[in-house]
Amino acid sequence: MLKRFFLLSGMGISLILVWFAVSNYRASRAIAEENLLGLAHSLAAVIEGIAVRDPSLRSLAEFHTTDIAFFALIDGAGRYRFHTNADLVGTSTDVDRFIAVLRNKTATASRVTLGTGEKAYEFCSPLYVPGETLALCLTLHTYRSDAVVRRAEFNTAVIFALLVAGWVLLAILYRFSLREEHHKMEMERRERLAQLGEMGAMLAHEIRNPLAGIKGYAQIIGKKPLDPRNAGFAQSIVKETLRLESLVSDLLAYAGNDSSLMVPIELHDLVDGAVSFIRHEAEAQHVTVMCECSEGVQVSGNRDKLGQVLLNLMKNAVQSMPDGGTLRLHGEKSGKSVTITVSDSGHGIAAEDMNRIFEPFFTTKARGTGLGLALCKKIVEEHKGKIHIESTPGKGTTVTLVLPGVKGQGKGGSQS
Amino acid sequence: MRKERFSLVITLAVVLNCLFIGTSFAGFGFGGDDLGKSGLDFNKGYDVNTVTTVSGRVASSPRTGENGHVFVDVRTAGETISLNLGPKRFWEKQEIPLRPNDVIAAKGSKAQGQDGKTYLLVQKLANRTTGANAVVRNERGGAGWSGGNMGGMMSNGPGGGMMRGGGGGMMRR
Repeated sequence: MLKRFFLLSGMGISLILVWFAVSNYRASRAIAEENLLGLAHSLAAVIEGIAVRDPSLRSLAEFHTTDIAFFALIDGAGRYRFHTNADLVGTSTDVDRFIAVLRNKTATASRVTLGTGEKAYEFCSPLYVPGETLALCLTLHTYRSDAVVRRAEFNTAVIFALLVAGWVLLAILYRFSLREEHHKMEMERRERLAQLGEMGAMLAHEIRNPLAGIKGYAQIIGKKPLDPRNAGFAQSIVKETLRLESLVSDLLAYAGNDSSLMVPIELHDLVDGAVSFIRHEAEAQHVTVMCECSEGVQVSGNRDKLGQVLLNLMKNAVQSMPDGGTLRLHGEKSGKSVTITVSDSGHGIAAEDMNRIFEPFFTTKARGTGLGLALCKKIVEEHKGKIHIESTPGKGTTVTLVLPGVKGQGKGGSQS
Repeated sequence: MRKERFSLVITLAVVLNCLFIGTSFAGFGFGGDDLGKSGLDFNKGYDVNTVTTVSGRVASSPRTGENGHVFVDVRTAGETISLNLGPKRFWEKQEIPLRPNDVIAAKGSKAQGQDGKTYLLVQKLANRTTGANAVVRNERGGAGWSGGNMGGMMSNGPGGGMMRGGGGGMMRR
């Protein structure tokens, strides 16, 4: 909410500044035109005064100012009675607007481009001398008057540059704040994991050892029961202790910070090993396992941990297909990485659960620990890889693992 | 993904910045046309209305400037004017030395550039110190280096009615 407020405020201030710059620029052009018009009127008055005093117009040749590009007086027949270029005096003009000035008795002013390429300001007006009316054509240089426009252009450029620089800085600051927030969350997560690690170690000591004793006694009771009914109870105790042992092992694995040595592993062997563990359970549930892996592709990592990831994913897949289905494994080299996909045709994951599936202890199964996928994610990230899940409820789930490949290895060709 | 997006935003911002600055500066001397900093057309430009004669001392040796043209600064009574003497190859063929403090007289079309300087697109020039003369353009401004202009255009005499589009000017060339 606060971010949106600041963003909107920034945009509002930016828009005001843009409006100010544009309006300032537009006003400057009007000011320049006014300046030029005022100057033209003043000069026209002076020229008229000289022309009235000296009807021969020769005195006009002495009249010079730095603002005048040239000026001329034209009579009703269209001949130049005076021109700052003396060579043109007496010649005719074919410019209609000069004649029109005499006909309409009105002054005109406009920007023109001279033959030299210079942008100039042309002012034409009737000029009354004793006995006749002439057309005055006065062309002025614009550089001095346009100083205000140039200044406005510079200011506009500075405002735009500052605005852009401001927004870029803001974007950088926002980026840094996001990174800081991310780091903070990562630190909190690590802290939680550390606490979990301590708890796991305590569980290992306080639960695992008694659990081993309970399991051992239950196994003894199961072998020589005093009452035949106790054999079944003893088996149930052993089964539950095994499940609890598995839970404690998962918890220790999740909380632990094992930086084991990364070695090149044949992708084909890794997948085959994981499939052999699950094949029996899959066949029991009428699940067909299909495996397509490129030969000769190697992945860098810890064999046991990556095998555990694949096994967890395949177990989830098989459990999502209680009425049978197809489990596909596909592995190939893609660039410097190795991509492994595990797809099933099971019931899929509900959209509302997708955001939480990697959270520890989140489970949708009645007897699940909620550590399977969390552990997978942790192991994959420890391998500097990525895990991504896509699921369509009722149609199935695809888990994609991207793991670092082995350097200097060509693209795998054959498949099995 | 986020890193790529950030780079994209930064690139976009820099490009927009350059565009804005380019647009804002375009009006005063750094425009996108090929007329150069002065905004004057030294190759074909000339306006008979602004023809005048100036005389003064050479302020500095001739130098090559905009569009490969040769310019020499001349101090007159009231101001310093940059005389445009045509393209370098053309001027070198004229073999007229101009040295600082030479007294010269030049006739040509006067113009003020967008850089605020005053230029004279020289038609003819006389070095009064050495007595050398040069014709750079014909009476109507036809450039001596563009072949055929010298004779052909001069025969029309001054004051011909060539107009430039967009409401520009009076009589040209």
